Amino acid sequence: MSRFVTARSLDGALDEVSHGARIIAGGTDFMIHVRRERLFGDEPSHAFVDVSRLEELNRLDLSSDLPFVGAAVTFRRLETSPEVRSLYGALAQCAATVGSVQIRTLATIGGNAANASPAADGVTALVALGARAKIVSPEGTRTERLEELITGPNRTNLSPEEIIVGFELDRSVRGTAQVFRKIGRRQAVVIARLNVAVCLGRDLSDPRVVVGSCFPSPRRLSAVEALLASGSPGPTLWKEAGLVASKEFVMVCGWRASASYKTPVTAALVTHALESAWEQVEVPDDHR
Amino acid sequence: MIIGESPARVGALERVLGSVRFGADQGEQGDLVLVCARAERAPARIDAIDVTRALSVPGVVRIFTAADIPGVNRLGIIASTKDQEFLAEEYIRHRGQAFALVAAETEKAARKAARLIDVAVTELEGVFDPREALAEGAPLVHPDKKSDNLMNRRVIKKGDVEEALARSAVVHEAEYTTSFIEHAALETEGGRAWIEDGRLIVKACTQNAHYDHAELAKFLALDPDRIRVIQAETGGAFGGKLDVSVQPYLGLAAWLLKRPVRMTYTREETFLGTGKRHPFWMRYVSGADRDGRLTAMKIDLVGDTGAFASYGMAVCTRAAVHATGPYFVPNVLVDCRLAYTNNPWTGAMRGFGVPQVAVAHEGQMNALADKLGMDPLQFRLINALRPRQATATGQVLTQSVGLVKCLEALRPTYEQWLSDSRSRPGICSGVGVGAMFYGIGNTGVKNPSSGQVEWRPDGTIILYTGAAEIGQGSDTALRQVTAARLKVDPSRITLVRADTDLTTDAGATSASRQTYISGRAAFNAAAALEGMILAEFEELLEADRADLEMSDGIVWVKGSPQMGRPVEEAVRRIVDRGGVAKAAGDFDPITVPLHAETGQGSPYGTYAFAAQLAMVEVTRWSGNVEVKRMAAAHDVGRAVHPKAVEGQICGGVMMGLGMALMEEFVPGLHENFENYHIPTIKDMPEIDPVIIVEEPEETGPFGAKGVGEPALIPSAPAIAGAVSRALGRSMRHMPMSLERVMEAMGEDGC
Repeated sequence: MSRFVTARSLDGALDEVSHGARIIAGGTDFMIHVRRERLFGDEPSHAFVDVSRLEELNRLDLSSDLPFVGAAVTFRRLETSPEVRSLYGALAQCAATVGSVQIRTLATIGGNAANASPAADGVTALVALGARAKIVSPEGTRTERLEELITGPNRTNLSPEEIIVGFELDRSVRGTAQVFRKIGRRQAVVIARLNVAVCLGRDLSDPRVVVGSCFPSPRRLSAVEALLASGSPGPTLWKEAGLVASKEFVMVCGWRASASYKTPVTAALVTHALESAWEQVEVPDDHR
Repeated sequence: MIIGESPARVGALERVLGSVRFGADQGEQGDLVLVCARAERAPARIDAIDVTRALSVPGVVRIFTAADIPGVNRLGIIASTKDQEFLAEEYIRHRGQAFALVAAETEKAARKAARLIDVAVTELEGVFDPREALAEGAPLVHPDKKSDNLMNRRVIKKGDVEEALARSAVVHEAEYTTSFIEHAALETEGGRAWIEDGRLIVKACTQNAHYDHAELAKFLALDPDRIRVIQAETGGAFGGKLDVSVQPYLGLAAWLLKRPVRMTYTREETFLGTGKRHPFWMRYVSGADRDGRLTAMKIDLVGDTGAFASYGMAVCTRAAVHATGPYFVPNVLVDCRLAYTNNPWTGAMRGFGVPQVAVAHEGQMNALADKLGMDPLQFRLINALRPRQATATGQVLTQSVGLVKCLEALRPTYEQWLSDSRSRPGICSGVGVGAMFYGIGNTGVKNPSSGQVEWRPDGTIILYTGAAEIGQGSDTALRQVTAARLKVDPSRITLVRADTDLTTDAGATSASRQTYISGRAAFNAAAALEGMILAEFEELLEADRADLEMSDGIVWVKGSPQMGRPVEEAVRRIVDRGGVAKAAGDFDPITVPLHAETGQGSPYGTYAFAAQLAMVEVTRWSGNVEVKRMAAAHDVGRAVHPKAVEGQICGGVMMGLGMALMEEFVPGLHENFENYHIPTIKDMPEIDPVIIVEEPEETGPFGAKGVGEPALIPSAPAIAGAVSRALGRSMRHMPMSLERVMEAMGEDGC
């Protein structure tokens, strides 16, 4: 028989994982793995610990000096929270594109990161926002940049005994113009063929550009960001930024079958996201 | 008025309450659970199957292989092409083919044992493309039975194509392709079997309980009288449940173990272990004269039947018969071949080859209209089949030919959309039209249905029908037809349906035939019952039959309704004599089989006609296609239940949209809904207007024909036409994925 424990305290959850329990929150990715193991593979692990009710993991505090999103915050909450929409728009926009309302009501941002799919929408947005994962284990607490925590497709450097509590976000990008865009094979309940998150401030001093579903692990496109930081805003710059992004894609991933589609579309996607973000800079939401 | 009203569907409340037990829900505590062991790789020769490790799993009761099958291990609906081994014998012919069946006390034990069966194989060279399969020297899919891979061929010849093409003002030649498609019914296959009074009872989801019954008798070498098949409520099918699925496994295990068993496919098994839609490769050469009249079509079709024949012969013929589309074409040459490959097998799916050829014939219509400088809708109107014209098979249609009405009905919407459709920076917009015809019932072969209606002394009226309700609404429609013919309220009629002990063969729920054929059989049964009742009242009321009226369960002599007497009086008289007030009816539309060499004949009793419109927007830089609007006009003869007709049309459009934009099953890649995409509600535009055109069919019940498959057929062609118009490039390969659209757009965009 399987054992399913709903953790009431972080210590309790850590105790469970140190005894071999597997972590579950929304379960929208995890249950797919469990089903596959049950049907086609080895015996599944017999103990699960649900961390979705833990208070610290549900904390959403974006206005403080240390902006924080709890790992168990659902996409539905990110999508609908006025605070998220106004301060970290990329996160709200990305949340709105995940799955369906039913999935978003269960799925958590922390689970999205821990599952580490190269197409994870939440990861693309979080990396653009400078997310640092706060991780606890029986040994203590560590903090790691999300792009370093995720080491490859569906791979992280998390040990089985570690729990992601949440993500600290950069205060510097709070309230900047942010855009998240996604291309998929249908209009809902779809894994990104490509996604992008950008943040632009008025002075372009600290631009952020992240493209997902493109690279084995998430990365900020440093060459694109450098170009933006040194350029003068306008259509030429946005177009140039798109081209640099697509070059980085080809450089990292090589020329695969999917590249004939992804290369031009990455360029266009980045250009369009930057155009939209710059429109927000010039005409802020509340003046439209 | 009962026909043309839309009463609540039979079983609607139970579905809303969630109290229906579908095939996949069958099973009781203590039942053994069945799981198939399926091959990972194909093709291969089986050298040995060792079940020692599997049998050691606690709870495993028995493991069956082909050697345990008492009867004939060759299944398939079409008598001349039965070739499906339900448990592989010498060869594994496709990935996912079952080679052993585990019966265990729990599902967990059964699945574990299935994984532990050791099968030693020698891998063989396979063939996975139907055109390669037909080439000289291709690896054989059935080396033990056949010296080539040709599964079936159908040729249709009318007039002189070469001469007509040479004389044509415009000629267009192009190739088209479509993909493997999964039905994606909500319910995966499932059911239960047990022994009762020494007989085998199988209750499973199905589209044809009476066929399952005959197949089980042969598979188990059992007297048919010792088998009863009951249709479990069936959670969607779309052709996927026409072939037997779990039934032979359930029957085999229950009969040999004498214990109740249950089985439900996983989604992956449904993907790999049931038939898919045939992918088609199609080359068309079409010509027209200066006035825009079609002169000739020369059509070469190749379809992939996968490892087994299933319904392939019917799909081959139906695709060929419909290859010209719903147009008058004086000169036709169609050559349609289906090839065996080592892909998972293909079979029946809503439309039976016609959705595939419709993509091509409508693509050709658009291209010819362009070459002539004509409007695509106008070009279709000029060529639309009209009464007294002959189809490609030489069938002269005399009545119920509603395509012109459908096109005319859509014309105002079409013109409005053309003026609304505007490309703007980043977005290319286009409007497309698709048209179709579809023969109702099986192609050029007998396809009778039968039914009975009984009036009981307590006033209950029972309709007995073998017609499987699979969510399409036949229960409701058949009840309406019966009620309308007996002039009683439909709610008075109880249904006994698809149970081989209680009903007679109604043929398959396929080919859009149940309303037309089983509806007519129910109509005839009701008429016969009325005759039986009125015969009694001739004596009771001392009146001539012609002077009697019957309505609402009352019979009276014309002019004296106040002197009416209840029908039950007659029923009791019959029962008192030891009889039953029960009458039978049947119907088999008159058809003329297709000539073996020329394909000439009259394959169907009637045809449905339809046209649909699509308006799309294509995002220039991403290749994303959004269908903004759809409209549909369908000639259904007579809408028995207009809301059900609209429901069929809306569902069909959605399925067609999937075929056009996203659905593509690649064995090994897409084996569940994680990455096999079907449209969501967010992909669906409003379908407005939905126009029901009624050109009554004189042989149908109250004029009805059918709509189940026609609903889907024009959708993908209309969407492809709209995308082609938006891009200025013809889209000939389905699905029109992001990549294909971007590629078509090229460097310069649209």
